[in-house]
Amino acid sequence: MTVPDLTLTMLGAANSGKTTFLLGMYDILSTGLHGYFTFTEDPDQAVNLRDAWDLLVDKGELPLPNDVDQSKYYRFVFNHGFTPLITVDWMDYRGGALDDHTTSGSDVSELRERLNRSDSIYLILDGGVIAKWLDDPAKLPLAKRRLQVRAMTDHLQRAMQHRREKGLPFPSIVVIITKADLLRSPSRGVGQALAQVVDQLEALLPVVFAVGVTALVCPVKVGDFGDSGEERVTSVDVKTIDPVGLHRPTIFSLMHYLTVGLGGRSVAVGEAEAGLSEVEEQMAALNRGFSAFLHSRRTAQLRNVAGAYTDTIENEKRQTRLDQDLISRLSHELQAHPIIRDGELEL
Amino acid sequence: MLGNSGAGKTTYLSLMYAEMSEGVAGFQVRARSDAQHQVLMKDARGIRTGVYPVVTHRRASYELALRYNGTEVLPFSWRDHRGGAASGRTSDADDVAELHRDLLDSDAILMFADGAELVSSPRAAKAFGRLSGPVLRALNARGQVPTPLVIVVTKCDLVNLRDPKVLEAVRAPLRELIGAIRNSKHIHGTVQLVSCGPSPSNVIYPALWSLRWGVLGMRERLDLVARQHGAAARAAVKKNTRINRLAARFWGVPTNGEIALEERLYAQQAHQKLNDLIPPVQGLDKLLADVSSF
Repeated sequence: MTVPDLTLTMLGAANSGKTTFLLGMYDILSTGLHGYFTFTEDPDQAVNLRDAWDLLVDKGELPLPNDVDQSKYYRFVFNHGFTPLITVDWMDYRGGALDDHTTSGSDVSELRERLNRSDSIYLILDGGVIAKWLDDPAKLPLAKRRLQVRAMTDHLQRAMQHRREKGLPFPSIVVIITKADLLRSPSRGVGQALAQVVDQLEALLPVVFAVGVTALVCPVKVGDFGDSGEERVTSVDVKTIDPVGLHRPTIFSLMHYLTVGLGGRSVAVGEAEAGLSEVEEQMAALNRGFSAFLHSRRTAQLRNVAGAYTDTIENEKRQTRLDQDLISRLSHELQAHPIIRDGELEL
Repeated sequence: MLGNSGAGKTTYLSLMYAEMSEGVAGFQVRARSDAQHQVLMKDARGIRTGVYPVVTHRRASYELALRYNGTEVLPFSWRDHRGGAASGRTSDADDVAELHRDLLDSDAILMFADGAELVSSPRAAKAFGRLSGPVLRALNARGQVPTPLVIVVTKCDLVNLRDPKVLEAVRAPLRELIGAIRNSKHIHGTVQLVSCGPSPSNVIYPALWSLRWGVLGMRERLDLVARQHGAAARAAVKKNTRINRLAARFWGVPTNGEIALEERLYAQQAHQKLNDLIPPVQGLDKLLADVSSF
């Protein structure tokens, strides 16, 4: 069985919690969750991720920001039990790189090339900034600036345009709201805050409402660390670590990838069925009348072609059933999470 | 064998060896070299008096053989890896890469968890969960190769497994991996609770359960060899014509009749070896009848 390879890119402003999210996601999925496991292809990368997570859990030390021109790459394998489902080529784009003032030309061109071939893009939004916007809607421009929304949107639109020109489907988008604990306020719970965010998301991130885009809005948190304002926090109280939802973005990426693949399978089945029908007609014509025995060699050749079409149809249908089962299983993990499809909200 | 530091891998090996070398229901495990036999027996004697073997600093490999009623049934290598090897970087120590290579080649994998630590320390539970990574990585690379995987929970004499809370603390960190094994068609698993102190208990079962899969694998291979030689013999008989005999004499090569005889001999030899395996397989089945596996 060939395991599909998914390219995933994570974008977000500096200090938005991208790397911490990645560490927490890996920690949870590396020991298994609801039957799903993740491991790195390179065993040493697993040790690096584990050590960085342990530093957070044991000493409260948050990971250092990725240095200038030091975006990080990982290759993960995503299994259901012992069955490999997908390999993920993951890029943790250094936060500062979204800021044009600090970004080199090669850095940007690398990112653009990467986004053009990304199957899934994670937009990381700092929950603390979102909370301030929810508290005071007039702060939308400030929130956009701090979340680097313009840079993210520009990159995303450029990638979508590229894929449209190439006739490729758009990548799935996950709007990850990190530090989700900060969404809570005396007057609202996290659930209410999320509903508010989704309700007003079009004002903040209109790009995810474009036709052809499927986006999940997913709040996550590593712990209840409180608000530090604009100051970069380097350490937290280990007693407050309480990861929630960190595995869901990856589940969604896989689910969307399989769903897009179903369309391709359906086309393949349709083409094979049309081919089979044509071959059967040719065979029927050759077998008609007294001269049928003269065409026995040609008929045998066509029978082989028909057999190949039948095999293709059966294989594609079998794989479709397997993918549908898996999509159904994966969707349980995302129940009650808002998904925006072609600009329409689904719950 | 892989597990975190202090999980009791080396202690387990010594005690298992000592018990099996004395013989259990006709089965015996013996080291091929006298030096290794002496080391393992000395360690086991020490453990029985409360002196535990020193921590393994590097991978140790023991060449052993399973015997039944005095006849060798299955030779095997037993690899004891340093505890830190499962969680180290390949760039830090050679034995880390050796562990990854061994996992790729092993016919059976034994994962060790310290039962007492599972109960008392969430860190230990997490550390055991993280052992899944190297195992999954290796088994993914191997494809659908049937592989027995034993989860050995050690130091069970130090915890009260009759207490439901304690039992749950032991079970919880194993649950995801057990679920994965249950859902797999090619991975066969069992969980074995053992005590490796001065009064060892259950120590023979993880080894014997793994060895049974080794013996069954050998039986399958022999069966295949017997069938292949049988088919070759039948095919040669069909081609054993007068012309073939004349041509073979002319070219100085064996006739199809001679080839058939030779193939039949190989098939008989394979059948004989298969027959020899019947008593040990039945013996292992009987011995392991109460061992639950999934």
